[in-house]
Amino acid sequence: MARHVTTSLPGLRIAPYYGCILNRPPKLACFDDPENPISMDRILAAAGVEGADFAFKLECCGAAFGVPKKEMVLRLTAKVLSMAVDAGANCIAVACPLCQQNLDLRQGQVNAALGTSFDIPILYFSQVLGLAYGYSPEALGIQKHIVSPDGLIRNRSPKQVEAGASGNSEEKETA
Amino acid sequence: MPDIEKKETGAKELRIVGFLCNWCSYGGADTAGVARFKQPTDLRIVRLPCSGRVDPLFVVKALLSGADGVLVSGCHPRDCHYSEGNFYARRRLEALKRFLPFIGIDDKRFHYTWVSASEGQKWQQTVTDFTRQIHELGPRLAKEEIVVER
Amino acid sequence: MRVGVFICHCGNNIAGTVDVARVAEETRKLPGVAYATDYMYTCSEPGQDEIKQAIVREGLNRVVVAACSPRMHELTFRRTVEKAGLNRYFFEMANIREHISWVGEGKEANTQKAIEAVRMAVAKAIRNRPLVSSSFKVNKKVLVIGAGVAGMQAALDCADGGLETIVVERSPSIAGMMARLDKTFPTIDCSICILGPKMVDVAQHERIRLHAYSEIEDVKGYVGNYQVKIRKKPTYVDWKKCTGCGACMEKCPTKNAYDRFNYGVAPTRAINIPFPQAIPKKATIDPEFCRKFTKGKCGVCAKVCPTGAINYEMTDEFVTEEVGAIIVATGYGLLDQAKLPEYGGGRYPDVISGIQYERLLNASGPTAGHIQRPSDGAEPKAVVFVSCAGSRDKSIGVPYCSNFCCMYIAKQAILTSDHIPGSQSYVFYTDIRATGKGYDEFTRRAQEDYGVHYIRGRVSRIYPKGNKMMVKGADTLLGAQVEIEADLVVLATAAVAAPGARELAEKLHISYDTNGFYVESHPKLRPVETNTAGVYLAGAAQGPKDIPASVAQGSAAAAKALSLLSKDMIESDPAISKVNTRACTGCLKCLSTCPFQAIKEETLRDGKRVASVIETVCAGCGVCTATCPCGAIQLEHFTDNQLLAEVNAICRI
Repeated sequence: MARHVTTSLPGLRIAPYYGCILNRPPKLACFDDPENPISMDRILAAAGVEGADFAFKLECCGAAFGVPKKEMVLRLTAKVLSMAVDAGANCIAVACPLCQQNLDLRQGQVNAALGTSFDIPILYFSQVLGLAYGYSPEALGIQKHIVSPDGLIRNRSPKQVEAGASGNSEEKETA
Repeated sequence: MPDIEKKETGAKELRIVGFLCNWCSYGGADTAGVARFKQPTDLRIVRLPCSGRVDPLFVVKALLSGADGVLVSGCHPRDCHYSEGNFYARRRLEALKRFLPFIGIDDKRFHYTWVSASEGQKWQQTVTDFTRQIHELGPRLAKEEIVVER
Repeated sequence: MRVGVFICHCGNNIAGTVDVARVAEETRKLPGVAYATDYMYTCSEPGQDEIKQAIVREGLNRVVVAACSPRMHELTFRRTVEKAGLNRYFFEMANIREHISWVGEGKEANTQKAIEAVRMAVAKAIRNRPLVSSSFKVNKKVLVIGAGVAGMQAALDCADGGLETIVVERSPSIAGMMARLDKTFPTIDCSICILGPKMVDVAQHERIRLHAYSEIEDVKGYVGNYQVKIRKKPTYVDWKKCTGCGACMEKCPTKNAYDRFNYGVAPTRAINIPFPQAIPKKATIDPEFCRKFTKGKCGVCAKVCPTGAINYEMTDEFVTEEVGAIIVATGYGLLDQAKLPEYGGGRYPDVISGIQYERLLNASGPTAGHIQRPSDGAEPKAVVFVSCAGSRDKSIGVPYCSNFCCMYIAKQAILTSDHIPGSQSYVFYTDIRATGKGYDEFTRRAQEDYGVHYIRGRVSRIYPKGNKMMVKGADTLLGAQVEIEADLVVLATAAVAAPGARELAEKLHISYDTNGFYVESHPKLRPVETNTAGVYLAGAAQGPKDIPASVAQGSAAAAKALSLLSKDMIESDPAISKVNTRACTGCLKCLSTCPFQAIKEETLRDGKRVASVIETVCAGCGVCTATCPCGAIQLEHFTDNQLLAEVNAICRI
């Protein structure tokens, strides 16, 4: 994956959020470690993005209770967001549309209800990967997010090729 | 053998002979008893010092004398009270299992396994499963073929 | 043939689900049976008298008792018939309790099964032959494996009782887990202060010989005459020259070696003496970290050692000890935190195990008794204790209770409040199991006098937040979630089988349960014996135990060894293999299969070469009998004829 990266994303510090059921129950999901998954961390690292050590990778954000128990959802969502901010992240990467929708869409509601001021964009990890591969934000649909990540990705620049030969030799080795 | 109606299933009881080593499996069967783990009553147990004492011919002899199934159980490999008796048992009984069809006996009628003295639950499971397997196969000889010697 | 059969009611245990009168009635019809009766408690004194009287009155020459497992009472009844003048091997037992009345599917089926079990036993009894024990000399020495508190107690009791005692300890010093503890519950007396004198006694006892830093390589022989090969691991320090001055430890440049004694609370040097009170107080090099071994150059310790004791070329050394009995006191191990991923799985420095906290509390520990949390050395103000960290959790394979955690957590919480005034301790518990003498009072003191906050519920998750550890769990009494901000979290990690416990069991031919703890011969009545004669158990090797129980069991095992070795000769089991020289063709297949090398080749007077059994060595497994192509070698009491008689008794009808 790292070989295809063409663009560096210096401003981003991403907290990977796996959500509650990507890898659980472990016997059915058969995906990554049920308590401390690292697959998204590794993908983001391969994309050359700085990751934040985030303890709420798997914590419930409450999305499924959006209608019947909105109060509780706001509280849980705020917790996830604040843990990410405390961990020094300015962006959260997700794998699941419900996670994305809930964390993104509800930030305004959280701020209004709890008096917080979260302004943290929620991107799919695939969008982050797309940016690193040099796709335009439009092609990745990034303008459709509620919390805009424009400010964070403005500084992206073509990746500096440190030693021209090294990339080639790597390619040969893997070939 | 008088026919005994089983309380639960109503099936006729079949004849299963078990050869158990004294140190592990006989103890495991005792443990199952102490814990009151209910089991089918078809099994009759012969106590031996070691599964290595089981002459494969005992198994054949039992099956030819009218047993519907034979179960041998010893200590887990590497945990034999006599260090390596169950290794000999394993070799002999595996070979026997493959030869049974040659004398016209379904090899599913014979099973060997390892149950330790602490594994009461495993013993219950083993007996229940093997008894069910034998009941699926039915009596070894059709009733009229059984030679009754008194 | 006159067989007498006694069907036991065992109160209601058998008679409740087996029609014992009918069993007796059916049994009377069997050929060879002269007498059959049922009796309330056959094993009771009047029950045994009844057997003795019947033998005389009815002229019985074989006795069958249908009752419990022969593993329970075979010996009892053998003695009974012997007292009435019969050979003890003329007795046979039918197990109609454990295998029938307790597990069966109803009275009719059980009764039929019991009738057949008795028929099998009668068939075998009729073919039983009289056997006579011979006796052999015993070696009046005892080997104790493991020198924790249980092993030391056993060794001291044996040695005081006059036996020469050999102690083998795997680590460089004796003392085991107890030496790592700071204080002991429920008296809060200093652990090493009460253990230290015992250690010195072991070291100085004239009848105790110690092999420290050694392991059991191989065990041969049988009760009364074991040969144990001991591997003395290389310490790379000549202990005859080492004075324990500690100069090497001070100068060793490798400062990041894992401290096995302190469970990695702080690093140690590659050459070290594990703790100040160590016995023997000698240095050992850890080749995993020593630069001489990892990088090939250093040699500082060799230069500074005033007695020239360092020897990098040292290799394994083997000694063989001959003993009559073996006491296994190998203790326990602790569950790897990696098995507890929801508690960080060892990733968070401020989530430590109970034994590590014990070292932080201990004045001779790496922090000199000041509680400092590992991450930044700060003094914790809020400490959370998590009991059942792994224990009573089927999902990680530890279904049992670890026995002593409830108590040591209460102790550690009390000590925390003594060490750090103004601190608050929290304990998450499943149940408070404080069943010993003075134990419940102790846990109550922790709550009532020391203000330790006990929360009934499990911890679901521990995660870092800033420089705190957040502990999230349930309070099942309030029915609410709780979250506590802690500076330090102490996990009462489950006690598990000692590393290598299974391998040692296989060498000793003793059995272990699914959790790796050694299995006693009978859970109630033979708690320190194993199924291998002459091998006894002491301490947590048999199951998690606290100090008083370990010491008691150490003494109990010593008493067993002493009573075994109080005799000069012991009787052998005559149920061993015997060669019929007329049938033997001298193929010697038995010789190559015998697990005990108990068969030798012999030339008869007429020049015929045959197999011959060495009586004292034969353990009676019968592998040879199943091997012999012509049935010439027969295991007495389990001969082909006897066993097939049992098979025929149930199949040929």
